[in-house]
Amino acid sequence: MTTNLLDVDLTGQVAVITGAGRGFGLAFARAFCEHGAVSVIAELNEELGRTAEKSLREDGLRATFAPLDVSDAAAVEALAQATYQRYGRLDIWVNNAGIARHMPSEDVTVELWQLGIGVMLSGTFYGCQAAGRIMLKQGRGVIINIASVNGYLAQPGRAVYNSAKAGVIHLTATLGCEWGPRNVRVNAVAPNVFMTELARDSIKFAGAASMETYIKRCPARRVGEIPELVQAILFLASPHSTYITGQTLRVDGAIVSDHYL
Amino acid sequence: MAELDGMLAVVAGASRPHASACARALSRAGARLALVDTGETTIAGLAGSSHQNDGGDAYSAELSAASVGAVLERIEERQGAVDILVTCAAAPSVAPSVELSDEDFRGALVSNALHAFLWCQAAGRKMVAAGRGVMVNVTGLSGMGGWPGWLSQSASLGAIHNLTHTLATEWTRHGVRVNCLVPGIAELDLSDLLKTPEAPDRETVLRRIPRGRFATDDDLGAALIYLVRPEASFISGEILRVDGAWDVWGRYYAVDPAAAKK
Repeated sequence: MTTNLLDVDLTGQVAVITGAGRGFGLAFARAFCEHGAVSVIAELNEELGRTAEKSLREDGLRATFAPLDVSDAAAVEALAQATYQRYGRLDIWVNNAGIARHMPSEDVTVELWQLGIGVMLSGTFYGCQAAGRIMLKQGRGVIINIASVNGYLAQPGRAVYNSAKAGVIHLTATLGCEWGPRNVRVNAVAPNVFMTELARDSIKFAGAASMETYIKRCPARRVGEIPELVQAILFLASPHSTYITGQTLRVDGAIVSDHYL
Repeated sequence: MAELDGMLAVVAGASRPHASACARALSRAGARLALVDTGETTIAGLAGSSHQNDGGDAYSAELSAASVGAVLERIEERQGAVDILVTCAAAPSVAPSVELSDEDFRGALVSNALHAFLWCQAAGRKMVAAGRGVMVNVTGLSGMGGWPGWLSQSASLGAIHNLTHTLATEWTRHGVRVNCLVPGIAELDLSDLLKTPEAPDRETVLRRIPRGRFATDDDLGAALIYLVRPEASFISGEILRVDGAWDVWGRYYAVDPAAAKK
């Protein structure tokens, strides 16, 4: 899958993408490589990570797998430092790792709450902080967080996921304000449902709508295509967006705009 | 809750959809009423009804600064200083946007946005000078975001929401609070909803409301009384929805995941 609609040149840049073993993350890693960057595939699941690394390298792209649990702040910091030491620069950091375990809120255990918040909200903060420390010193850098339309919308049974994603949107705004003057941009994207493994996990839970319902609810009357999200990421990573920071860009077929039936 | 102690409340747009619920709640809480609309007949009907308190009266005002200003003067002469202003939104004109006429669009901006502006400005001048007062603009859920087929209503109510934010930033420091109240879907709104392109039936609309029932006049009235009372004295620039979680619901999931499991 080649995505080259925007004129984006990332030659020589170094990008770290968390949760990049599959789905969105792998698509971002591939896109950064195809536009000239080196991608670090940070992934908890070693098998997924190695497979992803192999698939990119087989296409002649510069990618490397790094095992990472994003909920471990020290590990995130260590990866950021190791990446900087190895390449001498850190240009792009994408906090993408996510987990979907939806259930009635009265059944959510403390462990499940900590797991979801730990990966998606704390993990995003650790990534921003670790990358930010390097980028602030470097005097430039781009951080992109993967939020969700569910950071805006409420759904029964999704207290953990939706709270974490709402937190990511505000974390992004806060860091955008804080680091804007120092040339480190922090933005997010809020995708609607795309055909990823995580979406397929999501619709398995009790009370979840079918894919047909998702499609019917969306003003675009379809789910997203991964290249459409990749374009948004490339735009935010590129010099086309140098005045954009603190922003969450919805890539959602207008679902958040639709407050009707 | 304690009474509103004979405070004078102006209800502008008194013949509009949610006005009688507001007027009744204010009257029950002890407020005196000045009911205003553009047409005489409807107002006479409201003024003569059982929720009219002593000292209440009905007025007719055109949608111009001069007319609204003159009517407000007359209200003050007859009933005293205005403590509370409530403006009510008009019923929507529903049509697919490709068919919406410029008259209908302009009409909604006039009857909603201009209406709220004229009343808030006229009352605001007096309230700011007096150093106290409270305004509540009653809008609607289509003002919270996109509603297919409701373009003129959505745009004109959205304008009132931002008018409210701006007035709050100007006048709150002078003791004048400005808020919006967004009624949920009541049975009386169904006829408008059923006109929309997707023409949902009653059950579909009901399933769309997480609270599991339609909004009542008492739901709206209680929130209105809360907003105008001193207990809400730090609340200004707020858009308070009384909608049973309609607007926040992302609609991908069944309202009750536990029930859906069975």
